[in-house]
Amino acid sequence: MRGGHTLIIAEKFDAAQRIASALSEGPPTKKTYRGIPYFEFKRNGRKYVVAPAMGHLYTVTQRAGDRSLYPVFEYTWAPRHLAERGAKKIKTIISAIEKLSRRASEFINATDYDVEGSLIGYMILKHACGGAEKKAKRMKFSTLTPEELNQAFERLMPSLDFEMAEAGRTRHEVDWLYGVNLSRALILSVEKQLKKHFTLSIGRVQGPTLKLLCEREYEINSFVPTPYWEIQAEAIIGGSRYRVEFERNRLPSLREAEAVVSACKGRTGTITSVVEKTSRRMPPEPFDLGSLQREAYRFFGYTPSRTLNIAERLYLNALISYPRTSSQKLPPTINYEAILKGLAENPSYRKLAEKVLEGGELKPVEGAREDPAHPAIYPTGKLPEAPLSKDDSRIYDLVVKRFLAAFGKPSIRLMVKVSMEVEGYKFTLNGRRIIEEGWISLYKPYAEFEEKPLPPLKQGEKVLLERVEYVQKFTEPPPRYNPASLLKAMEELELGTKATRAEIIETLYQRGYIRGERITVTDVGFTVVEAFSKYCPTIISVEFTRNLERQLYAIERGEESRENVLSEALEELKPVVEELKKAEENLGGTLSKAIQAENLRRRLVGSCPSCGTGSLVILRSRRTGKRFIGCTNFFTGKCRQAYPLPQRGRLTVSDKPCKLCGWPTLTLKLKGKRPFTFCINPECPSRRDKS
Amino acid sequence: MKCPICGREVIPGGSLCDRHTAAYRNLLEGFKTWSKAMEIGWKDYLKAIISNPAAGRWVKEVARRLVEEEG
Ligand SMILES: [Zn+2]
Ligand SMILES: [Zn+2]
Ligand SMILES: [Zn+2]
Repeated sequence: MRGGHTLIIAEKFDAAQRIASALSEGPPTKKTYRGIPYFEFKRNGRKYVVAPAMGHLYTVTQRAGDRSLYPVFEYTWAPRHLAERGAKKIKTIISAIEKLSRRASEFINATDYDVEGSLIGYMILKHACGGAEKKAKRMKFSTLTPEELNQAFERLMPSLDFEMAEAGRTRHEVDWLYGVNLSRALILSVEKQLKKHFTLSIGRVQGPTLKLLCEREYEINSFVPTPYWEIQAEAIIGGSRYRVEFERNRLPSLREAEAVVSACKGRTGTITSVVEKTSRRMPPEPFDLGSLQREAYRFFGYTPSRTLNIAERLYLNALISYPRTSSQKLPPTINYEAILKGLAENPSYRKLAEKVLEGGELKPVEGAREDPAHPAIYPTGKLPEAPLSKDDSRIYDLVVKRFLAAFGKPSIRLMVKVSMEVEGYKFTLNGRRIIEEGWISLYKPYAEFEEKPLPPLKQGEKVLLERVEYVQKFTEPPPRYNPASLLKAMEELELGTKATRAEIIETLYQRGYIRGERITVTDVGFTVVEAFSKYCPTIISVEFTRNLERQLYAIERGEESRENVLSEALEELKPVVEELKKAEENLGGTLSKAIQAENLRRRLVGSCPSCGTGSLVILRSRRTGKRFIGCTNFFTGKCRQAYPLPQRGRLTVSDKPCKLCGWPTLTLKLKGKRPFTFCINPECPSRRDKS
Repeated sequence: MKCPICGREVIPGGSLCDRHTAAYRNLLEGFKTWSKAMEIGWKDYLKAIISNPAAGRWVKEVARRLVEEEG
């Protein structure tokens, strides 16, 4: 057996290729087994084989019985192609790994170093490599650069990280138990009423997240604005005009506002003090995944899941470090100087990187959050091998500049506060000026400082309040969540993990529970939350999921056992499922109504411009099965208006009318393409350009 | 009994559903604040709420119904 080769398991094809190229003495040999590529190379006279997985090859699935019924508590781990439709390729990958493992005498797990990666490798070694998980070694790295891969290979961990794999395994099992039982309860309750299948789901993290959104929606929908008054004033000081602020920014009654205006308008007062203060602002902390996702949303409007996909690609191209991290630390071991010198090779960053290198001691700011497995996200300093797409280059630029900024000096501002008094009322004038730009010069255009210069003003100077007015305003409801602020709220409440949050938000959209960029909860979403609040409030409570999350972290640290966590989770789940079963008819009734209403709403395009009384809806022809837009008066024969529609892709009615003609617009989403909005008016100028 | 505004179940002992009851309560509370802030009658208050973009959907539904009912 000693004579066999070493089998290295990688998480994905790109990672396998980079690992092979980095460790091989010459170029590695690319081979295939039934269409599945793998790599062979020699190192110090020994033969190595690198086989790529495709993420998870094994999954939790029901042990036996009907796959639509519930309750179900018996499960097993099985190859994904046996449990899921459309996972045929998995079968070939597993058989390739099985074959490559037969002659192997040593094994190395080189999947991503985190809970999911560890579980992926563990399951493959256990099930496809004849129980090799017991003797396998573990490679730990945060970037796919040749230097780090070689280092990781030289310092292999003597065994797998069993705790991490165990935590991952427990998470999958608990989530399966909850997801399957609760979702089937929803699906079956509706199916019995409507005799039709609707994809509904609710899970351990999905539930509390949706509830959070519902609570906000509730507040917004029952919000009563109250009036207040703002004083707007302009003062003449030394011949120049300034906008000044009143001491109280909200006056609760009209009477008080009137009193201020009549006392101060056209009156003269004096400057009572001029206070100057410098303030130092430290650079922003290095990116963890959550803060990268938020900045990407802010500057480019990318959803968290889109940003994660892009970051993942940049990682696989060895351009940035592993993005699924919650660390805001940049340890010296990543070698700041080498990275900065690498970045200086890139014309776009040469000046900035050199500035940092010339700035003396390299000491980055760091944030408080830590991650035992990976540092914060940073650029590797490698040059892109090919030009980057727009998405990739935007995220790459953001990561590079954030990294550079971490080494920047504090930015120093001078803040000036001029206080004045007129007829016993106080007003202020605020100015700000930058003394030293510091890190801001490294993080442009993602940080800017708006200056508001003031001339030198002195205490005792006369002030004429030339214009004083009041403006009525109203209090606003709390803002709607957007994907980025929701992600942040989930982080703060410890709902889900850095790796799953973006996907959970995406699922809520796909299920039709929420819609819009400024998130609105649909009636279906509301009904699901209301039903669970009624029958089993614990399941959707933040505390419940957060507790479980903490227990899972405890398993990762080796302080809690999988058995304990599972049995507690089951104890909680079993009575809930009973409750749901009893309430099935009721639940199905309200849910069905909400689904039907939502479906109608989604198909409703607008009022019919032809007959004026009907509504335009998306319909399907009974004869051809093709979809088109028709008038609701079509069926009564009163209106024949119809418009053709593209047959492929997902269509949604957009809430913005056409800019050119004012008609309703639709958004078409083809798989793998960006959504595209078009006007339904065949005569619209926007459509004439096209053809 | 069903809520006359949305057709959902009314709350026990009430005449509106939970959502519209909450909205109605806020509407009454709001009137107190508005009356202190400015001179305004109940009817004008309701109209101001109906046309205020910051007012919630359920609140407007209740306000509209009150305006209709009270003629
Ligand atoms: Zn019509
Ligand atoms: Zn148009
Ligand atoms: Zn109601």
